[in-house]
Amino acid sequence: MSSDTLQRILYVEDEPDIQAVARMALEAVGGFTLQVCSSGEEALQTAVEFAPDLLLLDVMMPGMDGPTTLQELRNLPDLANTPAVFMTAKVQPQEIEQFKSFGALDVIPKPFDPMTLSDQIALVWQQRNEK
Amino acid sequence: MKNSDADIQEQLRALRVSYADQLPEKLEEIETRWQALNTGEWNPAGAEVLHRLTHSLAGSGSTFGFPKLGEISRSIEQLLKIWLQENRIPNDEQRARVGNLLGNLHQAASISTTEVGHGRDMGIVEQNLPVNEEQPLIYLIEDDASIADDLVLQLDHFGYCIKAFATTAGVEDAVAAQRPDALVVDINLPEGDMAGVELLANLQRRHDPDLPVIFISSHDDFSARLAAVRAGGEAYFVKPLEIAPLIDRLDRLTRSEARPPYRILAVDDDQTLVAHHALLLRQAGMEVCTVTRPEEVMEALADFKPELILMDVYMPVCSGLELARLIRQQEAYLGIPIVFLSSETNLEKQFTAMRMGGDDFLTKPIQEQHLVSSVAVRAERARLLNALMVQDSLTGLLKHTMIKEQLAQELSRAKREQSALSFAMIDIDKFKLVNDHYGHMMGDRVIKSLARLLKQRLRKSDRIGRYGGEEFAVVLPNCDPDSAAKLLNKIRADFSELRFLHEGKEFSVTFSTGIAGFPAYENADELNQAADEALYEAKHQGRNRIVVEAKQTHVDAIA
Repeated sequence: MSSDTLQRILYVEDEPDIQAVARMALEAVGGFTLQVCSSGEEALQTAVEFAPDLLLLDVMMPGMDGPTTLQELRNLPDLANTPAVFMTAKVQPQEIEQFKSFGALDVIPKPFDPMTLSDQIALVWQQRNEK
Repeated sequence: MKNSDADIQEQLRALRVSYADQLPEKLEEIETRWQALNTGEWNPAGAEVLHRLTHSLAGSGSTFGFPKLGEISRSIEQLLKIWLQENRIPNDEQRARVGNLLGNLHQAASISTTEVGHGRDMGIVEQNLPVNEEQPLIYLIEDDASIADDLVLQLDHFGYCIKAFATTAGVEDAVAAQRPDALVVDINLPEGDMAGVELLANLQRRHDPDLPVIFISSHDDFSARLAAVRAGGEAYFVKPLEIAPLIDRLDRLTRSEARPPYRILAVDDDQTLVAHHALLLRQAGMEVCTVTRPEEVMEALADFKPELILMDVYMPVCSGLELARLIRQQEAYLGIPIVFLSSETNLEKQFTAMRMGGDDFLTKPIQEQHLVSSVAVRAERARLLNALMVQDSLTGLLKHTMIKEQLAQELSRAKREQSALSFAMIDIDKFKLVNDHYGHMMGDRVIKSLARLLKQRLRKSDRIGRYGGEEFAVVLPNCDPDSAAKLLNKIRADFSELRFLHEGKEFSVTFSTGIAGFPAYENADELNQAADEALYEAKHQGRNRIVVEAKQTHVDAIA
């Protein structure tokens, strides 16, 4: 089972500029250890070794999209139960439910505020523990 | 590793600049793809790429300080998505719509680019806004630049104009040139451990003994506090500073003079006497309306809205006693104190007068000072009681029922005068998380901060109520929904930049707003419902934004 403190985040996002700002938001502001992957394929290659506490996935990516990536990651040893959070610009309530049914704790809407993103994630993490 | 705040801001600025640099190229690609789709045969694969490009801008625009760009991209993205999902080829009209949106997209990119760096909402042109303009002037004497910068920014959000000084040099000249409404002074300055206190003592001695001052300090010891009290400090705050209590205190310091005068209606058939009483009360700073004919009282009550009625007992046509009953029989005036003024010294008769609805009985001839203080004391108490009845205790805003009443009142006035009116519902985003995460005290503080910001920034004619827990409602007379959206959007942007401090950790909060207007919606229930729906939509679109409910099928969003 994963530990109670959130430190290591595997982040899958294809957009370089969003990557950069999220890196800043999560590393500099949030103090997390971040592994950024630019595609689902890359995530599948690095995930086991990185051993993340949390998966953070963009939903819409060329090639393998977020939900598919999560599905594939779930097949890897050690990642079957790693909590996951989606990020997307489309957030309709029914879509949130749909994403959650793919095995995500929550969906963080884009655009996000770089100054509060890590708080948002910390909150999701904390609530997971309360459940 | 966490970085310092200044560091992060710097990085963020750099990222924004780089994003802005890349924008033209991205827009160019979108433009080219769109042209290709329109000149050649419509192909889903091309539309797919275009969808992804716009989707990406929709998700990133506001993060990098281009909220308007993000919104427009989202509109385009949604149209494309529908066409793709339903395997549809858009008709000319639909294509023209995307063409227009693309034009707006270019515009949104160029407007914001010039102002990169602040993360403020730049998609809105802020002019001709109906804003309450009075800005109290504050001098801040603080040698720590990061604290000073932060205070300047935060106080600015609350409508204060701040001038910061890093040392005591120049402060005295500035005070002589323009007296500030208040000073915020750090006790420990480079010049010495108590330099702030000494500076103030000098200023008060040489310029103005009543100069209001708040001390801030990194020491929390008795002797520093005592020195501050002796220097006339109105308050003493220990660093790290919490902004809400500081603003609270500044509000009280700078707005004490702005307290509205008591409104007194004087009714007496003796013209000379009523004029004399009015003069006495006016000299004491009250606002007085005089009526010499009892039949004119009703009109005066409605127009002047007095807080207290001073009335002669013996008048022709109808006596003061009858008039009091007549007034009391109308529910709206049940709470106004009525003070009888008469030469009647018979106690029995005085009690009769009170039974008729009078609250007090003053006998003529009355000493001038006695009249003034009797009236002032009662008007003050009436004001307090009235506040208890109509105001929400936490925020001082109107209670739920009162704001609904105000909406109905202002709406019928708008219909009468054929003027515009907007109704806005405001809801703090994810407020439950604030309470859960930081506790209810902090939650209350957030609510109070928003209430204060609304009070400060909306116009005097606007009516603000606390609708429920974290929900507020605003009635804006003479204001169409678009202007209301601009006004509230500015407040939204500023509120989102306020930082709250909890156990050494900062956090910020946002709110969403739904607006509906008259004449698009004609009655209070419809307005209420439409604003509520717009609010719901704003929440759906990702919160921290304003949605105007248009009567038509579509909804315009700004954020």
